[in-house]
Amino acid sequence: MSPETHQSGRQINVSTPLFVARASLAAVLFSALCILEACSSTPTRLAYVASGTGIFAYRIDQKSGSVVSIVNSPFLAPTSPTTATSPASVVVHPSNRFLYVSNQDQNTISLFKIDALSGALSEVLPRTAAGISPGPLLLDANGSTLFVANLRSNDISVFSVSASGMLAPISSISLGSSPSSMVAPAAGNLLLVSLPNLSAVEILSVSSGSLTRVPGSPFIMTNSVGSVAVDAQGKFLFVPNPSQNTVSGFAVQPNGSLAVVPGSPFATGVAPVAALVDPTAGFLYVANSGAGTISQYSITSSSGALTALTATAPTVGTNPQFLTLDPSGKFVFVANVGSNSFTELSINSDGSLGSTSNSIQVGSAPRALAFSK
Amino acid sequence: MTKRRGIPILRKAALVTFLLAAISLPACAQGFLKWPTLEVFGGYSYLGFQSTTLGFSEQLHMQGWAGAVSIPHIYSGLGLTAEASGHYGQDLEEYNFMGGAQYSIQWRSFRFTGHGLFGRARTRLTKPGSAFFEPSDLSRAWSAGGEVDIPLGPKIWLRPVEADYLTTKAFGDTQHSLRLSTGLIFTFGKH
Repeated sequence: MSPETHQSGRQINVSTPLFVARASLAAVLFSALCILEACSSTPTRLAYVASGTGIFAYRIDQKSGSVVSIVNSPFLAPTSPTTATSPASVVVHPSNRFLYVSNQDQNTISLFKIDALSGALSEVLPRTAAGISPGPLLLDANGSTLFVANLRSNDISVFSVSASGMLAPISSISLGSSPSSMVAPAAGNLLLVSLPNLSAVEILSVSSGSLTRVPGSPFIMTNSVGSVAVDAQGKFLFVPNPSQNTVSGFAVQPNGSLAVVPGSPFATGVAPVAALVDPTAGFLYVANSGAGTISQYSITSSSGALTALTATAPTVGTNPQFLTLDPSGKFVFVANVGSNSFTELSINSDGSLGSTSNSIQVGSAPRALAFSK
Repeated sequence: MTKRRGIPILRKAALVTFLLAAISLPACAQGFLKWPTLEVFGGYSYLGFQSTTLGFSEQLHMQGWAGAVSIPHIYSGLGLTAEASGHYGQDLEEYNFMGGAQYSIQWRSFRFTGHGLFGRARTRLTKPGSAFFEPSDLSRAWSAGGEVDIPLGPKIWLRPVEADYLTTKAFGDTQHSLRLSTGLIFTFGKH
C-alpha cells in the first residue's frame, strides 16, 4: 500500500483509511438497523396497582408478559404537598384515556388522565364524592357506568361517565352489610356483590344505572363468602368459602336466582378467598390465602360442576388475596398481599397455570389491579 | 428525591476544558507539534432514545442540537473533545455533557474520526404526572462513535454525519440509544 500525505503533514498508510471508511459504513448500516428495530416493538399494555401508598404503574409486554415499571411511579392524588389519599381500588376506562381510583380515607373518587406514551397519570380535579370508605370499583363493558362499593356506608353508588371522563351520580342502593367485591358478567345486566359479614351474595339487576334486587337476593351462604367469580355469559357463579376450605358453585337462572351445581361445594386449599373464571369459561382458579396456593378446576359446561386439575399450580407468594385476568386472557396475576407482589402465571392450553418467571414487586400491599385494554 | 446539579455540570465542563488546555500546552512546548488547532462544531442532532426502559410504549425519536469543542491533533491524530447535546421529544428532554479522546485520519479529502466519550446525562420528564418524585435525573453517560468531515474552505468543514452509540442510566435504568448529528465545524489556529 502506498502511503498518502495527511493534511497536517503526517504520513499514513492507505489501508487504515479504507478500514475506517468501511467501519463508518458499517456504523451507518447498524444505525439504520437500530431504527428499524425500534419501529418494530411488540405491543404492550399498562397495568395500575392500587396500594395504600399510591398507584403503582407498569407496562407489560403482551407477548412475553415481561414487566417494566413506569418512571415516576407511584402516582398520587395529593392532599397536601407531602401527603396523598389512600387508594383502595383502581379501574381503567375502556377507552384507555381515563383511570378511576377510590380514595378510601377521603370518601371520594379520583379521575386521572392516562398519558398513552409514558403511562403517567395526571389527576383531574375536582374529585367526586362517594359513600363512606369507597372500596371496589367496577366499570360496565362500554365504560358508561361506574359502580362504587362503599365499605362503611354499606351501599353501592352508581355514576354515569361523560365523554371527558367526569362522573355524575345516578343512583345508589343500600345493602345492609359491607360489600367486599363486585363482578358483572359481560352478557346480561346483573351485578353480583359479595357480603362476607352477612355470608351472602347480593345479586342486582342493572337498568339505566338503577339497581334493583333480583327475587330472593341476598342469597345467604352457609359456608362463608370470599370474592366471587362469574363466567362471561353469567351462567355460573362460584363462591369461595374461606372458613370451610371449599368453593361453592351455582347456576344463575334467567331471573337471577341461584341453583346449586351438582357436587358443590368442592374442596380447595386453606382459606380460599378469591376465585376467577378463565375467558373460555372452561376453568376456575381459586386463591388459597392460608396455604399460599392456587387451586385449579375444569368447569363442566352443561352443569357447572368442577373437576380438580391434576397439574400442580406454580408457587405463588405469601397470602394470595385476589386474582386478575389480563385482557388478552393469556395471563393470570396473583396478588400476594403478604409479600407485596404479584405473581404472573400463564394459562396453558389445558387450562392449567404455568410459571412465567415474571413478577411485580409493589411498594406496599396491593389492593387492586387494572389493565388498559 | 433527586436534586438538580447544574453547577457540578458546569464545574466538570470547566475541568474538561482545563484538561484540554493543560494537555495541549506541554505538547506545544516540546516542539514536535505546532500550536494545536481548535475546532468548534455545532449543528442538528437526532436521538433515538430507548425510553422503553422507563415504561414508555415506544422508543422516542427526539430532535435537538449538538455542539463540541475539539483539539483534533495533539499527537499523531490523537485528540481530545468535549461536547454537549440536547434533544427534545414528546414527554421527555435529554441533555448530554461528555468529554473524551478521539482519533482522526485523513483519506483524500475526507477526514474520519472515532471517539469515546464519558460524562453525565440529564433526563427530564416534561409530563411527569401526579407524583411526588422529582421528574429529572442526572446519571452517568458514555458514548462511542465516529464522524466524517469534508472541508468546505480553509476554516470551515462540513460534518455530514456523526453517529454515536450512547448509553445512559436515567432513573436507575439503562438506555442504549443512537445519536446522529450533522453540522458545521469552524477551525481556529493552523493545522
